[in-house]
Amino acid sequence: MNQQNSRILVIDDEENIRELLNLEFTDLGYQVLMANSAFNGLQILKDQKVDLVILDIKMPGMDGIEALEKIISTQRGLPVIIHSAYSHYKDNYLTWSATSYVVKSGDLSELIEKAQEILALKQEE
Amino acid sequence: MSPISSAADLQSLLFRHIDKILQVWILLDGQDKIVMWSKPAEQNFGYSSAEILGQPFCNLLPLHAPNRTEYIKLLELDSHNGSLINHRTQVVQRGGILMDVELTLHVFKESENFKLITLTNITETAELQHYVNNKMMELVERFHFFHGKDLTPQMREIFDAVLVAVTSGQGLRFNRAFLLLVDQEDQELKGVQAIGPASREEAGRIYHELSQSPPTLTKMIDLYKASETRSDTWINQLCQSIRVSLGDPEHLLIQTLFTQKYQLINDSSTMAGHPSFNRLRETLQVSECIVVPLIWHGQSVGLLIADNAVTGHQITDTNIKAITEFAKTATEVIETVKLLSKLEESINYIKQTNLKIKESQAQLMHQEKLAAKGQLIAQMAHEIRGPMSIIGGFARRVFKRIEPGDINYDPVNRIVETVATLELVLNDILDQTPKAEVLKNDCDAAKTINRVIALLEEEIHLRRISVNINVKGHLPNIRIKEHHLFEIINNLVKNALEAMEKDGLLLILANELGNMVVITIQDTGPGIPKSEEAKIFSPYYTTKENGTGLGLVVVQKLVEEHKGMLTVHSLPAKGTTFTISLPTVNKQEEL
Repeated sequence: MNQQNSRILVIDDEENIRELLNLEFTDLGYQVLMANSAFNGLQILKDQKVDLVILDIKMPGMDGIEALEKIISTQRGLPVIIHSAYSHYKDNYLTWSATSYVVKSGDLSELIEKAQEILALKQEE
Repeated sequence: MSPISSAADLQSLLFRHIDKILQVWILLDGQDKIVMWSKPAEQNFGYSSAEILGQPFCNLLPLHAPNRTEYIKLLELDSHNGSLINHRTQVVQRGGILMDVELTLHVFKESENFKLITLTNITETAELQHYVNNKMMELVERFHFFHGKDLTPQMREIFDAVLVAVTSGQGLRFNRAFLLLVDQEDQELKGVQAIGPASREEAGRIYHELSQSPPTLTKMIDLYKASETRSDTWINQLCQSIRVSLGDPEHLLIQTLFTQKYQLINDSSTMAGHPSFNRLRETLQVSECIVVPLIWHGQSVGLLIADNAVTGHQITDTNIKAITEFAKTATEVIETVKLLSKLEESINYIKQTNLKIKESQAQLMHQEKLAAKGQLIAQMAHEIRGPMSIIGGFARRVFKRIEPGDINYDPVNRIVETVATLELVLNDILDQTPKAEVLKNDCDAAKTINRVIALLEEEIHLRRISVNINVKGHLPNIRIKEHHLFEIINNLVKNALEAMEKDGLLLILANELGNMVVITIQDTGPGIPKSEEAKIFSPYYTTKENGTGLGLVVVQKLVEEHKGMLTVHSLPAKGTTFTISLPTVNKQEEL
């Protein structure tokens, strides 16, 4: 599978973030799926094949930590990058099972690098 | 002179000497008229017998005395079996001068109600007591209003007042007086303060001044105060050089404390020849002095020593009576001052404590405010960080597509850079805000184990599992946060419980090994097949229906992060044993 065809699911309640990541990752040649809530994200994961999830934590309804637990128990081995404005969730061991943790920033280079790294590794397997 | 043989002779003998025994006495008839009185009475009141005999007794009472004419009748009512002893009152001398007296009344009911009155002149003592008490009241008032002030100068002043009373011309007329107090803390009798002329020349000067005009008590005190600068130092030094251990019962002064009886120190004294006796006379450079104990509620609290070092006058019985009487007042005053000074100390202590409490309260409030502020700032910063990343993200996106020559290149660049700066500022704020709580890496394993078991009690009960916890001795604390150790043990115990059928046995051991605490969790479940053992620590491995396969991953990560070790040992059909070892808190680190 070509890395460029990898499918990334962005779960974030903030429309502007979804749109920004959509534009950036699409530019890089990835396919981007978007969900405006954890619940919708889990629905997409049931129906479609996804290679990487970029997951916000603070969301109305089900939050990212609960969603992470559900993703891990249903989609074993699916990498998840937590993408939050909060850095202190890093101290919560429940987030440790995520593949990576990136604090939101106007500079997307860290998030992009992590995503590329993870997807490249996945392709090697 | 004929020998004394008959009863009449004996009676006449007694009567001849009655003035020596009773001093001032007055015999009244049934109508309270004076029928006979003594020579000393005549001298004291200044009337001749011819003038006074036949007069009613109330003529000797001040005009303003209440119930003047009925006075003796009223005293009779107060008497017991016809006697009234030491009743304090005032009488008036011929010149109109008031005299403080102690009056004793005996009514001879069977002899036409004749009465014998004896009087003791206590004017001087009364004046002294009045003076000292006034000083005391003054002190109490001052103390009341300036209770922040150091009491020591006031204590000095009150001691001075006591000593002046002993030495003044109108007072007890001793030349010098020394005050010694018992120091319970040091178990010593210590000279505290003294008063008196330092030398003959000094004494001569003072007596010369006094002879110019009749000395009053106030004048006397002023004179001593004026000379204080010259004589005070020397005499006080002399006094303060007297220090005797309470554990020296042979010592004359200590004996006086114990016997609670005054001692007259002179050549005819029973103690003469005793080493401490001679030493005292040498110290004071006198041949005679009197030592009077100060007794407070049955306990000796100090001594008053008085002498006539300057004039060399002999200490008379009247002197002794006066000073022993005065010692009572002096003791009361001294003890009250000591109590006040203790009270002062307590008040100061309470004040200081109060101040400290107020300070720490203010500090606490300040910290709470700071913490609340910090939380608000953190929340705001986080709320801002989200939108900031959107602005920054889009700005960068646009900026990438603009050529350096474009009219928008510089403005968009400015947006990108400003957002980047703002993000750095936010990071700074978030790093500096106080965390909700800083938990220490310090945890009691036994406590945590018990907490886990207590929380899982229901499940243990449902599965009918026996739990055996065995903690060896008193374990040192482990260098880990409590909630992290809780997570480790909770995961392992849960796994063990779920692995076991009913009636299983869960064994938890904890002991110290080197600088580690080793915790073993053993179940009687089916065990892990050898082929699977390697996999159990990989993420998402689970044998449970609803498991995430993360429990052991978390356990391993936590143990590794705290520089510990996690091993598993399993025997199929026998059970599985997990062993965690974690480093203990270094004792020096704790300090």
